[in-house]
Amino acid sequence: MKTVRAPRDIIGPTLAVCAAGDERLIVLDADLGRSTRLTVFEERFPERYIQLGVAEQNAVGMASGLIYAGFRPVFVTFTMFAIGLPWTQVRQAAYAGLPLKIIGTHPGYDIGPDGGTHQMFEDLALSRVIPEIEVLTPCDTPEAIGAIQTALVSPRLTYVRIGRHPVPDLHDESVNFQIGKAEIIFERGRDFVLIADGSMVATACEVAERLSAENLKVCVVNIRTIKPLDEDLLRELCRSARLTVTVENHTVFGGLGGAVAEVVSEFGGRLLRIGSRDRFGESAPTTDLLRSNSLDVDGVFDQIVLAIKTI
Amino acid sequence: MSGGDLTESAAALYRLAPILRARILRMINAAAAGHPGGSLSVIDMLSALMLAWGRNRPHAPLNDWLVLGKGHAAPAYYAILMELGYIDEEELHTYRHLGTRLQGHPDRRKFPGVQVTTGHLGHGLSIGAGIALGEKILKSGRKVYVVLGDGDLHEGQTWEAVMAAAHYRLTNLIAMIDLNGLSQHGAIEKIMNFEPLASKFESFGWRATELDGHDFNQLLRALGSTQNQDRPGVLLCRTIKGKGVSFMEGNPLWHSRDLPDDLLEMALRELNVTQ
Repeated sequence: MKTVRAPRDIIGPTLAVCAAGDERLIVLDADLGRSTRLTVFEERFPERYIQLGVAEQNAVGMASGLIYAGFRPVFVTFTMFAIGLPWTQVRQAAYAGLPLKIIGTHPGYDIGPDGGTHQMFEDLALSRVIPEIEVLTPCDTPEAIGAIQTALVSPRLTYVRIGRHPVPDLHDESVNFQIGKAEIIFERGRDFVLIADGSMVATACEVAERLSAENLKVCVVNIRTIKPLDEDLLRELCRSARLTVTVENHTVFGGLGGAVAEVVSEFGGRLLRIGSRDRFGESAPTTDLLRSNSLDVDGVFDQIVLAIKTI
Repeated sequence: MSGGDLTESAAALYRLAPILRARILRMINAAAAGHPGGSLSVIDMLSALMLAWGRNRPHAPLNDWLVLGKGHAAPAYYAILMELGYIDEEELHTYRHLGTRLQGHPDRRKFPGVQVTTGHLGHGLSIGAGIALGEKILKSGRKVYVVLGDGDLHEGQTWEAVMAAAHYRLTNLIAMIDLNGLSQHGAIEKIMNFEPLASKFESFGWRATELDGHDFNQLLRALGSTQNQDRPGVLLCRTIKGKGVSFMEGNPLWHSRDLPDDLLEMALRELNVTQ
């Protein structure tokens, strides 16, 4: 039985380990440190934990300034307030070539009961259109640790999207998280290529098991980074696939589905994008929202089977 | 700095002022675009800071930080960087042209003479506060000067930074605000009033000083008064938009526009600069 846990829980502990070996690492919080699991870091490195209150635009601006002064700042908050609220400030930091690190938690339906105001389905789209930026979507806890460690040594501005909803560990601690390198995490043929990010990778693997049980030749790609996208692997797999499917806890416009569509359209491949459609969310527990929006295993499976029937 | 030195420095700045203004106007003329009004209102503040006070003092070269929050006043910045030897006259005229290092707003990646990339109003004070916090942690003694315009004060982010700078007691942070009283569409009091500023900053925990932003003696004295402050300091510099060119002074139409040859000649004659 695989360990099931929320990837966000490792944010503070991982940053603390990294900070022990890097005296310039500094963490910025906008009053959500308890929810983003920064308290371990705050207790261990109080002098390098900068509380800025509910003022995210200023937080990104001050993080930019700290980089000029020689520090390596990491700004941690909910996806909505990490990318949505201070988008222009993030974009200007990228323009200035500053290697700012942003960790966004509680993506999409993960913030369930808070409702549609706080459910962020647009952050991957908003971030990946910014030039020179990197967008990382680790799928489980070991990958979340790897993604943070990898982001910290990257010379670019990096956005790491980390889930709150518990997911099974699909990797162990030895996972090698590389920016721009996707992973084929399940492979029993290549007629049907399922591409997923974050918490949807585990869902896609379960769906693939069921499709495989119906004698369909299917593989699952854990995309790992939305930008840069592993276009070589996607071309190799999707060009010969009967159907490519993207699965994301995000709007199907402009995120993973949009990015894959840009590649698949080069050769006219058939594509099904599964995710949040053109609508806002609502309050409910995350599992209920995933079920009612056909993003649980049954829902994703049914959508794919229906699409296969129309090929 | 003694009183005598101060007057001497001020006199040198007064002599240089029309030459810097002429450079600004030539740049905008050659680019057929730019922001003459706000460049002419801020140039005296910048020259006091950069030429007499700050970065080129022989004992402290490049020691302090300048964040030009009102990045659209880039011609004023470039005019002074030429004085400091970073740019020659020929390059000055590439401002805003394809392939130039002298972008419409200061860009440190294109031009290393620029310390901090700026452009969007409202961002500057946050960036400056971040640098100041970093330098404070490092106990470097370096100071951070952030030059803002009226428009920066309309952005909510500036007030987030005002709060944070006081909260973290950034005594090495000095904001200089070019209060020419006009934004692109008209008078500040009609666009969106933010006065009284001094009491606003004081109530946030800053030390505020009001002065004439074209009086070099006042500018140098005010800069001197910020050196051992016990809280972040703001210099509220009252200026005239388009200062030095009569047909531009106080006229919001000169916020952003081309300066054709005939008007350039007229302006240069007024400044009594012919070379």
